[in-house]
Amino acid sequence: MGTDLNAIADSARSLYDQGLYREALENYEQLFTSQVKNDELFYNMGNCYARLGELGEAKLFYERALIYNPSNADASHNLDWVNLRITDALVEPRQELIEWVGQWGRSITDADTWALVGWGIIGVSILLLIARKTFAKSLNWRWPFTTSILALLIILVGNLSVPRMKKAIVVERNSYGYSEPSTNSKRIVLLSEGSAGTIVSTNDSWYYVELGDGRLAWFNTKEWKYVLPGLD
Amino acid sequence: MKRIGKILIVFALLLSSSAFGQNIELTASCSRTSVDLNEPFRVTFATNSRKGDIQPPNFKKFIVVNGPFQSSQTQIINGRVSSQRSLTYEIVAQQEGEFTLPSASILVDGKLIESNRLKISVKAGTKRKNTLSQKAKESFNVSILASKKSVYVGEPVILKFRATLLDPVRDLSILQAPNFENVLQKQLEFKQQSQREVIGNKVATVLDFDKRLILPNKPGTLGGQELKISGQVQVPTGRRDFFNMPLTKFVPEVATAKIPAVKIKPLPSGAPNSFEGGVGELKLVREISRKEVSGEESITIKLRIEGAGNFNTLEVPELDKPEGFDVYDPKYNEDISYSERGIRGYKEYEYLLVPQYRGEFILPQMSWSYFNTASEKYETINVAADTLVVNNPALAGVQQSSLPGTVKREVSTIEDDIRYLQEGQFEPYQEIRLKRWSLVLLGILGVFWLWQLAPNREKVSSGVNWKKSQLKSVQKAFMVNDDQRYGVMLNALEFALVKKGLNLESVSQAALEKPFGGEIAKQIIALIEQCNMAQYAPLAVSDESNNLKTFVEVWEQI
Repeated sequence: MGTDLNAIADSARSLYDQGLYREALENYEQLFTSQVKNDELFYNMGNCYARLGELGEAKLFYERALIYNPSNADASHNLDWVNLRITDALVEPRQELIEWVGQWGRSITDADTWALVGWGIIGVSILLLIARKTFAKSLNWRWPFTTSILALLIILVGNLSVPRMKKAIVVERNSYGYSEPSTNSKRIVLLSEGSAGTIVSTNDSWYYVELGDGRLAWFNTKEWKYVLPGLD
Repeated sequence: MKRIGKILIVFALLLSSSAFGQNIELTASCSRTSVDLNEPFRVTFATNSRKGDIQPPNFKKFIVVNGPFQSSQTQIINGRVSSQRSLTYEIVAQQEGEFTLPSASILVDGKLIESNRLKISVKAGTKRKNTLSQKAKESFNVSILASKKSVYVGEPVILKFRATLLDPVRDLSILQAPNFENVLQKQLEFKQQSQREVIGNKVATVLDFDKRLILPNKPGTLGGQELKISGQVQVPTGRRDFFNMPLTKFVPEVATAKIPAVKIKPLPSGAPNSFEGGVGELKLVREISRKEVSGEESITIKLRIEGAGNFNTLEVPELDKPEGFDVYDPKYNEDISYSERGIRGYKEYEYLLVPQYRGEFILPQMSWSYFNTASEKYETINVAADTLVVNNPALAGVQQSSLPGTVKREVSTIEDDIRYLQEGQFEPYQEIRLKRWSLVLLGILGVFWLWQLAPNREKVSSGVNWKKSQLKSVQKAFMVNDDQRYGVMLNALEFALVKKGLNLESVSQAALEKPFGGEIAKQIIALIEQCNMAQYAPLAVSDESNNLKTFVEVWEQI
C-alpha cells in the first residue's frame, strides 16, 4: 500500500518538474483521499497551487502543512512568499493562547507521542504510590506528587496539541461579506483570495466570520475553506 | 378685637391713599462729578415708589467696583407717609473724557419712569475729594514685570503681576486682565507668596499674584489692554478711639498696570533652507534601536527635537526613509512643560521599519536648522548617515549600484521564489487517538492517590487489636498456670476500665452499670474481687476455669 502511494508521489513530482502542475495536484489529491496527512503532502499541494497562481489555495495548504509540523521552514518561507502577493492587507486572526501552546506542542512531537510519554510517567507515579504504601513507607510523598503533576501537564499539552483551530481562508478570487446570511442583505466588506478569518458560526451555506480587525460578516461557504482539513 | 381690626384697615387705606397721592420720581446722583482716573465714586439711584425694581443703566465706560447696595426707608410725619428706596454702585472710569451716564428706569403700574442723566468729567491727576482717597491711591499699586525687554519672535518672555501695598488691602480682585495681542500666553503655576520690602521710608507688602509665559508670534511691541485690580485699602483716618487706638477706614481703590514695553524683534534674514521655524536652544536626535537585524526583527528609529524652545509651533522633521524597508506611520510622543525657565521638553516621532530585502541599506544623513536665541545665530544640526544591515536569509537580496551611498532593489532574484517540493514517506495517517485513554489513566492515578490518602487500616482496628492481645495474654497466663495470672487479668480489666474513663481503685457497681449494664457490672466487680483475693491469698481462690470463662464472657461484651 505504502509503495503504491509513494509511486503516486513520485509521479506527482515528475509531473511538477514538467510544469504540469494541475496533473501533479490531482496525484497529490489522490494521496489525500487515501488518508495521507502530513506536512510534506500539504506543502507540495501548496506548491502546485502557487505555481497555478491560486494563492488562496496555496496559502491554505501551506498553513495546513504548518499545522502538522510548525517547524517546517520551507512551508513558512513559501507562506511568507504567498502573503507578500496577497492584495488585502488584512490583519491575520489573533492566535489564542491555547492554540499557541498546541502549536508549541506539535513543534516538539505529535499528540500521540505526548500521550505515550504521559502514560509512562503515570505508570511511574502509580509504582511510587504503591511502594510508599507497602514496602517503602519512608519514601517522600513529593516524588509521586511531582511525577503525577508532570504527567498531568504532559497529558494536557498532548491534548492541546490536537489541532482544533477555526481559521478559514478565502480560496476564490473575491468574497463579499454580507450583514446577514443572504445575498439580498447589505454588502459590508469585499475580500480578495488568501484573506483569513475565524469562523464563529455557520448557517446553511453561510459562514459567520470574524476578521482580524474585529469586523464580522457573513460569507458564502463556497468561497472559504477551513485550514484544518476535514471540517468543511 | 374687632375695633383694632377696623383701625388697622383704616390705617392701611390711609397709607395707600397717601402713596397714590404723591408723584413718583427716580433720581440719579453721584458723590463726585469730576473724578480722577481710576478713582472710585458712588452713583445712587433713588425713588419714592414702593413698587417696581430700579433698573440700573449700562455703565459702558465705567467699571463697577462695588455694589449694588440697596436701602429703603419709610417715614410717617403728621400722618403723611413717605418712603425712599435707593440703589448704589461704586464705579471707576476706564478712560479720560466727559461722559454722560445713561438714565436708570423703573416700571410702576405699567408706566416707565426714567432718572436724570449724570455728567461725569474724568481727568487723570484730578485732585481727590478727600485725603483718605488720596492715601488709598498712594498705598495701592500694581505693576507687570517682564523677564526680558527685547526678545525674538518665538522666544518666550515671563511676565510677573505684582501688587505693592503700603497699607493692608482686602478683597483683591482682577477687574480687567490684560489681553496680549499676537502672542501665545500660558498661565504658569506657582505658589503665591508675599514679602516685605522697604520702599522709601515705608515698609510695603509685595505680592506676586500671577505669572504668565508669553510667546510672541509677530514682531513689534508687546501690546494689549492694561491690568486693573480693585481692593479695599485700610487707610488710617488720623483720629483715635476711646482707647487711643488709631481709627482706620476701608477705602475702595482701583490700581492699574500698563503692559511693559517689550520689543519683539523679527528673526534675522539669511535663514538656511532647512530652517522650519525652530527658535530656542534645541537639539535634533536620531536614535536607531539596532543597526543590524536578522530573522524577522524590525528596526525602530526615533527622531526627536529636545531642549528649550517654541515647542508649540515647531515641527519634527520627517525621516528620510531608507530603501529596502516598509516604513509604518510614525507614532508621535511629546512631553512639554511650561515654567519660568521657558518651554522645555521634547517632540518625537517613532518609526517602525520592517525589512523587505536582505543587504546593506543607507539611512541618509539629515540636516535641521533652528535659530539659537543664546548665540542669536542660525545653527544647523547634521546627523550623519548610518548603514542598516539586514541578514535575514529568508528575504530576497539586493544589488549594490555603482553610485556610492545608494542601494537599488534587484529586479528579479533567484531566492525570490517558492522553495521546491519536499520528499517524505506518504503513508496513510493512522490516528491512534490515545488521549481518551490518557483520561482513563489519569482517573486510575487519582484512585491510587485516594488510596494513598486513606487512613491506615491498622490504626482503625487498633481498638480491636488491644482487646484480642489482652485476652490472649490472660488465656496464655491461665494456660501455663502463671503465678501472676490473676494480676494479668486484673491489668486487662483495669486497662478496659481506663478506656471507659473509670479508675480501678474507686470503681463501684453503680459506676459500672452506666457503661456496661447491671449484669456485666456485677460480673466485673466479682472478677476484680477474685483477682485481688488471688493476689493476697492465692489458696482461697478456687474454680479457676469458671473465673476464666466469666472473664471471657465479660471481655467479649465490654
